[in-house]
Amino acid sequence: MNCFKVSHHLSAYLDSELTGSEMLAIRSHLGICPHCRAELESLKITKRVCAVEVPSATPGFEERLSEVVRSARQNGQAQAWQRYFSTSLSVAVACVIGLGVFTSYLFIKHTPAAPIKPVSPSSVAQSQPSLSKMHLVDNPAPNSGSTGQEVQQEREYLDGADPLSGPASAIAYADR
Amino acid sequence: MAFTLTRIFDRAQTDQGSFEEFEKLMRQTQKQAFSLAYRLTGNVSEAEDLVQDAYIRAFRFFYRYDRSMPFSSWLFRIVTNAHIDAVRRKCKLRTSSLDQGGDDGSKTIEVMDSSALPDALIAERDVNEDLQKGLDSMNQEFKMAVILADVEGMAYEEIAEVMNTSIGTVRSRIHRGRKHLKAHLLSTAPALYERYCDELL
Repeated sequence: MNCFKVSHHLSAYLDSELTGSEMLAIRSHLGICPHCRAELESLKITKRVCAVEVPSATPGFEERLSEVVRSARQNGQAQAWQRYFSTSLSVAVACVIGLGVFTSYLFIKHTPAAPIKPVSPSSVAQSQPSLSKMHLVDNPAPNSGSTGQEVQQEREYLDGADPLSGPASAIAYADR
Repeated sequence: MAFTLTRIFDRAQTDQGSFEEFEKLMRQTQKQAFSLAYRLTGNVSEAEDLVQDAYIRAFRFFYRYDRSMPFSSWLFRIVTNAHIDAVRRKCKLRTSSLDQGGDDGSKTIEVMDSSALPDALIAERDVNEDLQKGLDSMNQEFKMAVILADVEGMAYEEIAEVMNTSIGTVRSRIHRGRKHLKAHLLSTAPALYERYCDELL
């Protein structure tokens, strides 16, 4: 080993963090190299300075620390239980909604459909007047071909005048 | 969903069950944690705050602690991370109160009177100050590696675990950190360095 390699491994050598063969190689180099020995000594001093005792904490720090952790525990516990209950509640609500949707689906699926009656031409004719009324309400425009008198009659009819007591023409028009 | 519920329930239960275990571990490690925090911050009150913050974080995530590894390694990792966060916060919020300023805008800062302390205490405080200045002048990663090795006396493997890096990187950081610190002490406090040199010889 040369000085360059040894100098890179001196801290690890000082901390005994090298393999056995590396330790032996460095030890033999240190035996013949005063420069590397001096470097090792300076690293030892630096390590020693670092290990100087730190000032102690303020009195009562241990108790204050325990108190802080205890209060953090209480808060954390309350939060954990709150989270547990809120999650449980959400799950329960989701289950109830899901069950409701499923029951509705089953109900709709198993309800028999109403039979469709065939439509006769006479019933279609009977339904015509009402369609005519709707047409009058929706399109009272002059381009529908009705005259001013006819429009007046329509309005009277639609304003709630008794169709039986009103003019016959209005009823006739409405039933057209 | 059932898994989430069980996990939340377990955490609520664990908080109750493991508190005594946590308190016991806290009593065993708090001095070490304080010395690490002091070397990282260089100030007693900041170190106390850092230790409190770290233990609160540790308790909150205690259910994640792997019992197969030493509690101190896990805790030191939390302390160093909390310190990095605090340094980042401090960089963002470097404020100073104007309330203490005088009418002419001048400001008074309280400084401890060294002459009122016994010689031994002054000497110790000087060593701590010089060392702290040297550590503070270092890169954060080198500083942490040197503190974990020389203040806490941890093995390189443990340091690698705490710093989440390889042993080779730890070895290099410690060596470069020590060399930097040596150069700093020799230039700023040669008398102190000489004194330790004499003591060693």
